[in-house]
Amino acid sequence: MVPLPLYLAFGALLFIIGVVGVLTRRNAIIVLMSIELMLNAVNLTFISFSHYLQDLRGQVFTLFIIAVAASEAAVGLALVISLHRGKATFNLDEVNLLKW
Amino acid sequence: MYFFFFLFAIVGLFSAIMVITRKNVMHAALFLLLTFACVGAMYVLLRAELLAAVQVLVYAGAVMVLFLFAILLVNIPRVVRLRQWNRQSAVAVVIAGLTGLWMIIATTQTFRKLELPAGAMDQPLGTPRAIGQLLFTDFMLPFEIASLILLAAMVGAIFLARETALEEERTGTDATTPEPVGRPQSGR
Repeated sequence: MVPLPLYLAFGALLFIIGVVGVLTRRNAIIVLMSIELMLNAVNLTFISFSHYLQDLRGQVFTLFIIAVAASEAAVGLALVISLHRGKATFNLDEVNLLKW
Repeated sequence: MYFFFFLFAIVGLFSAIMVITRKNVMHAALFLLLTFACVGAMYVLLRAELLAAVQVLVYAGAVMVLFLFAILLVNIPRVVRLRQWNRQSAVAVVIAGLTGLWMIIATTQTFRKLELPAGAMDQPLGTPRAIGQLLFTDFMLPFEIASLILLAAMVGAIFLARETALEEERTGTDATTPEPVGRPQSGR
């Protein structure tokens, strides 16, 4: 069977790709997509551990992470829509009204 | 088994890299959909059948539709021509690369001895019955709290995306069409 470290390495790589996306892109929607990538990587890690330890609680935790990720995506996109309405921009570098 | 794992892993990593590097947001959204499908297929390899179905239904079905509607509702024809990488790209890639290297070393060197028990691949693990039994007995409280979180997120999203009075004044009845200027007739 496929050894556990391969699954964990795949999850780690997905997580890092998500981190690079969050840190470097200017477009707010792509930042939200990268956050979803990171959450998926964490889900994959949970499920692979659940498989190798034969413990079902990892999968239950993943179910809750999926629920929270969906609600956070909804609120984040609503914020992006209202941001676009106020300033007509998605560029996160220009959203600096609170900057001192 | 190895073939399917590497197939989904390589396609998943390729589409994840495409998500963060595309200039067109719609292309990035479609590549994210492909990534979700690859991760869902990986769940099936890991005997998590209910979670694979939930992943496809919720992530590919609901979250991606939400993203696509949000992209389509706001008209962004001019964003494609703007710069897409912010000022800290180089430092971020270096730091993320180092963190990734550390994570991969930590995960691959630590769990080498963890083996699946014999015959575990033939027994079902993540069936709906088993997860349902856990979810409604041991995890009842988090289950109810998750439904409250979803309710709060729904109310919050509707409230945040509503039309405000400011917008009504800007695009309401105040918008007047300019008067057509009469052209002077030459040689009348």
